Amino acid sequence: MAVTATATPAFAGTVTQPTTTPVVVAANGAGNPYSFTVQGSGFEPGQNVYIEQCDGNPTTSIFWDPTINCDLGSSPAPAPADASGKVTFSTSDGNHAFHPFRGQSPQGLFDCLAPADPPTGSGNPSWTNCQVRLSTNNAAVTSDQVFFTIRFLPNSSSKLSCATKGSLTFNKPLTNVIPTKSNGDPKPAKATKIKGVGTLGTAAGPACDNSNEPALATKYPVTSGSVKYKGSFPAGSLCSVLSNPTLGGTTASIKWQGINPKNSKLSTAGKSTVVLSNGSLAVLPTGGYVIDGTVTAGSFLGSTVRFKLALDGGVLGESNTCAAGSLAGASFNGTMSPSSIAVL
Amino acid sequence: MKRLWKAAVAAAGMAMVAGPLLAASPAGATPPTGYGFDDTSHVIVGGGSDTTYHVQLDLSSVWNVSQKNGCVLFTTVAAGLGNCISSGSPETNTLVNWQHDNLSQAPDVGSSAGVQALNGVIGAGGDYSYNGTVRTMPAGEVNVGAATGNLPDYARSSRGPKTSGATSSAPTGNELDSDTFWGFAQDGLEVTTFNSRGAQVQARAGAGAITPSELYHIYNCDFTQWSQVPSLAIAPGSATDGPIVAWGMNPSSGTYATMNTYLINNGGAPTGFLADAQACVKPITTGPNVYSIENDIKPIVNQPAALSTAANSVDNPANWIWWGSFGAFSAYPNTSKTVRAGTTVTAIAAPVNGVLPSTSGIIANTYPIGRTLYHVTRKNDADCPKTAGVCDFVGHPGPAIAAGGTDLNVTGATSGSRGAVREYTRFLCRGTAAQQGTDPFTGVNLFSAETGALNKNGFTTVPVGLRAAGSRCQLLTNNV
Repeated sequence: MAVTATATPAFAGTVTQPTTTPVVVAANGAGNPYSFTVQGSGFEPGQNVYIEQCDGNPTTSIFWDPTINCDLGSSPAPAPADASGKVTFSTSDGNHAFHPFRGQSPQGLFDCLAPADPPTGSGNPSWTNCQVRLSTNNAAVTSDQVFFTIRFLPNSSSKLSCATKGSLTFNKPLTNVIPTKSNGDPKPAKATKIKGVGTLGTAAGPACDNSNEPALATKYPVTSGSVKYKGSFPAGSLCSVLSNPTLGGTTASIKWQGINPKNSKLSTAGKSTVVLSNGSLAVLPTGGYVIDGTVTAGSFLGSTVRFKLALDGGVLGESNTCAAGSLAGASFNGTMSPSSIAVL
Repeated sequence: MKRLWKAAVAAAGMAMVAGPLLAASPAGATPPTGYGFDDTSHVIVGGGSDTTYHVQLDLSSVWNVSQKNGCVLFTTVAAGLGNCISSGSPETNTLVNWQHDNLSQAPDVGSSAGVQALNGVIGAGGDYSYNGTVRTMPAGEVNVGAATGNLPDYARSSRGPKTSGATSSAPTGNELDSDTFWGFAQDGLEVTTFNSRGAQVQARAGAGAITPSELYHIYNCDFTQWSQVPSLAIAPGSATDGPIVAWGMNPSSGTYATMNTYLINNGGAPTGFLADAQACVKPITTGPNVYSIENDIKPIVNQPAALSTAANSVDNPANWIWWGSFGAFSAYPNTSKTVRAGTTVTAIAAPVNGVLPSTSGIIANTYPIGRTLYHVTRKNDADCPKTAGVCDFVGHPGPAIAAGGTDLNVTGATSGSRGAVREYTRFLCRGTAAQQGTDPFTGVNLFSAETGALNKNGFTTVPVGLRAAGSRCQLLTNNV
């Protein structure tokens, strides 16, 4: 992840998690951004490390000041760096969890918005590229301060939205071990195949929200369904692909189902083929992906479909599993952190 | 501003000729209507709290430097040098330190001492002067004492008003009969343990450590060993057990008063409980006992003849407990971490009821020992307009602002140093950026600059739920 530190001090902070920038921050049903785990390293052991949300002003601006360009009202309790200078702000730790804000900052210094968000009316400067700052002092510029950018997922009015559950399998399993020939040379890299299945709507939980579904978009209003995924990670992909999902060209074949009014039975209402673009790491409660794709055939032709897949093991957890050996797949069956498929 | 400067040039030309006349007749000037300005620069000094000393210096600085966007000055070296040149009838307030007042802060003697001196109350020590202040009690004040020396123009307090009991700080026994308390910032009391005890106690946050009742029993000398604190689950005689050393604190301090009040209201301590009065609570010198100034661990770290690392030693910092300002300890790490003879001593926040202090918790008013920090004025200098005895800024808007809308209506003195106190108070409490001018050096609106000054000291703005409507301050006053 590209990070910036203001100087080259004895201790220089680095963000080790999340691993991509900007970090895409999704919101729950109430519109509140999800918390996400942040890890850093390079701090003085034992020193308290703070995390807070800042505006989008570059720190190189002549009057940049953390007491004005950041809002310490967003800062949870500081966490002491461990003996190796690492620090964790975990979502599961009530005292240290970082909760990003969207809208006006807690002290009314500035606004952080998603693209196309309406102005808050506060009159404050507003930004769509707000930053998160880790440092050993919220009240002053520090030589170890480090930043990463966050971007809030725009609100999208969806034509159709369904909860989903399912799993993906990777063949061969992802690993950091590069296969070699008997002479020690690396074998030619091969793509890692992805296959997956999932359920939608009533098959996964509550019925799909079809209140905005255009008339005749499907044969019946969609309440349920299933999905199959097929594609690959690029040749030579290692475990790091989990943190920077390159899924371009992967397809999702969706079967939409609805209640046939003639017999009150669940019946096929339509089908869509969706070609996914590369995803971005998204802030979901357990960590996951937000991936958009375009319908290239069938129902909702030409529409964008957004997949929010919250991995049960979290991106960090699955990455760690992979790094410790290999990873043959991942599931997204969480109820606390529901996954969804929405036609925008 | 351009228009003002044109006026200034014209006025300055006049002043070259008629300067002495203008200077001799400040009454001929027409300061902005509805304010405490008299077109004369005044020096005013705050006194009291240690916790708010630094932040008030920084807020004073914001107000002081904003004077550059104020009135045009009379610059002829003659009587009236440094006063305003009349530039309008009346002049238009630029929502900054219009008349170039100069604010300063007297030494940090503690909140209670500051409020007592603001009110000129003479205590057991006899008549006095508060060094660092510049004038005696002005005429026109109510419910004040008879002290004849120099006194602060306003007080700094890190505790709320005392409204009953002794008359040591207000002649009626109720500080609100004399003063108005303007809460301008929010802080939390950090209960702190030291070195290896810090991580041990933080690890018990999930078990609800440390409870207010346990804090009371520590400071009431009921618990004398760490193993006696139930929520910490330390085995008696284990390697991490040891004698509890509870340090005391400057009794004039608001930080001290706030902790006592917390232990009484939440920990089961009896009314009137004073931590310093308990036999086990440790001073930094004895005969008579002197307790450490608050918000800096160095006096207690330097108290023992030598620091120890022995588990059963009272000179081992891992056995100590104290408290202080979370803001001060966070913003100024030199106050919470020090090195003595090669040994690093670090104060580490302990959870209270399982909750660690944080600025997000403090501004949300969810941290158990949150507290508001106050700017205290004598009532006739600065107060709020009231409806049925309750502050009502919304129902009583202040002067119209040139750009539209109205200013915050702080009532009080119309001239002199007392008027200067009124205008500094208005600056602290204006509710919106539209009511504030601009820092002439950074271009930052004073509303943000003020928040920046609070943040620089580790404090937050006052939680919205505590503010008086139309203001950014909490208002504590009464109908007297």
